[in-house]
Amino acid sequence: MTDTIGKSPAKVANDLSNMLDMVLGQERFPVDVGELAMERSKNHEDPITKVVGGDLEGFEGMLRHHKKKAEWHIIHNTNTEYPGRERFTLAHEFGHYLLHRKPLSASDFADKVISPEAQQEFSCTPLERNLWGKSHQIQEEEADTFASYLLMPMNDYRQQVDGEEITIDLLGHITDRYGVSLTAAIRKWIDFTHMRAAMVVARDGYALWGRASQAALKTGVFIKSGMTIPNGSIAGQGPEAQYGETNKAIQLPNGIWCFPRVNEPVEELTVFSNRLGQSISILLFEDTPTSPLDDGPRDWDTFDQFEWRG
Amino acid sequence: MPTPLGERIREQRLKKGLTLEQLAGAIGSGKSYMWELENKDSARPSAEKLQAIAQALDTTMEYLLASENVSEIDASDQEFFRKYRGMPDKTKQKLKRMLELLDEDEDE
Repeated sequence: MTDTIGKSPAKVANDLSNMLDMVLGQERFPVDVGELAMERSKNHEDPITKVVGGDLEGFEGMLRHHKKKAEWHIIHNTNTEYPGRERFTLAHEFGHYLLHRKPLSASDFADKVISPEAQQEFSCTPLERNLWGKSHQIQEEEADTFASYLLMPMNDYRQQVDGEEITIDLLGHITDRYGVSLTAAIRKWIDFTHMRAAMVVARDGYALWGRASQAALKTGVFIKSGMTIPNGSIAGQGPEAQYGETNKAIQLPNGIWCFPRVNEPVEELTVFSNRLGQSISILLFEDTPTSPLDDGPRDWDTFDQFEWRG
Repeated sequence: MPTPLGERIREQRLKKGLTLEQLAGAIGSGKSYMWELENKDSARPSAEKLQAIAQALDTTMEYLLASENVSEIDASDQEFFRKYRGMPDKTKQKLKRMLELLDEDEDE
């Protein structure tokens, strides 16, 4: 078993996906992360021996070791506000195990209790991010990147959407297939699509955050946190404007969605969440010829996961 | 990524059935400023602003800023609770129990 610590999160996830493809075939989704974590780690000197869920409001998940022996546990919240979040959290913690832990062995527990220098813990709560240091933040982003690649392998995702029109039904198919939240699914699509597209997550009339595809970014589309959601947009008009019409993207005229270098007709598809008081919009711009894009992994920044992880 | 303060303000505002505009109006601020307060880590309201917001929401500044007090005796408990101070008390207790159970389990 090759060592995974310190490797690229996408590479480690892709290696696992290839292994799963071989063992289970293509119709193997969604990924059973708990089982995979225990199975994959069982030959390590410090395996993951327990994956325990509980109703832990306000908590995400944690990777921690046994106090008295070289074993790891994943604890996670089963009472999640967002569907699909639980699976993402599990994959995130499994990512910490593969990428970031300092491997433990029996010698670390010589006195029947772990030596102080071997102690470590990865705990992920949504509320204290402003207290994190930089290295913690990088680890969190890496764990998210790992989770996104593990749960939504790009080759499979492409097969699901290539040549298809982006509709609410198609997005539903994706979230069902991978067992992730709508946000995570769209986020992933934005990261690999060759189309000029962007996503905007908004609340109370302003963008919480957003992300443009590479092709869109290169042509001047940039979503700034805090930007005003245009009144004429679907997101600005409210659920009736979308659901009353169609489950497809709606063509908007020039001058609704404006970006510094972009003022063109946009198609918009917006999904509203009453529960969260938020909306997620997909903006589709006209395709302009661009140079071929590399498919290199894009890392997840911290924005995404704690807002809507899943 | 809203701060706990921002979340509390938003929670109270929705409870009162106020829109962002209405609350902003009540405290003499702009809508976008109010939005930043609710949704951005970086927003640092003055004491006067906070007082005005608390008043408009029929609550107190103390409530909006409340961080839970921990008065545990055990030092390891203290550390545990410090680490998870953002979580509801109920969750902290539960999580702590779960971890203890996991550590006791030595029969395998």
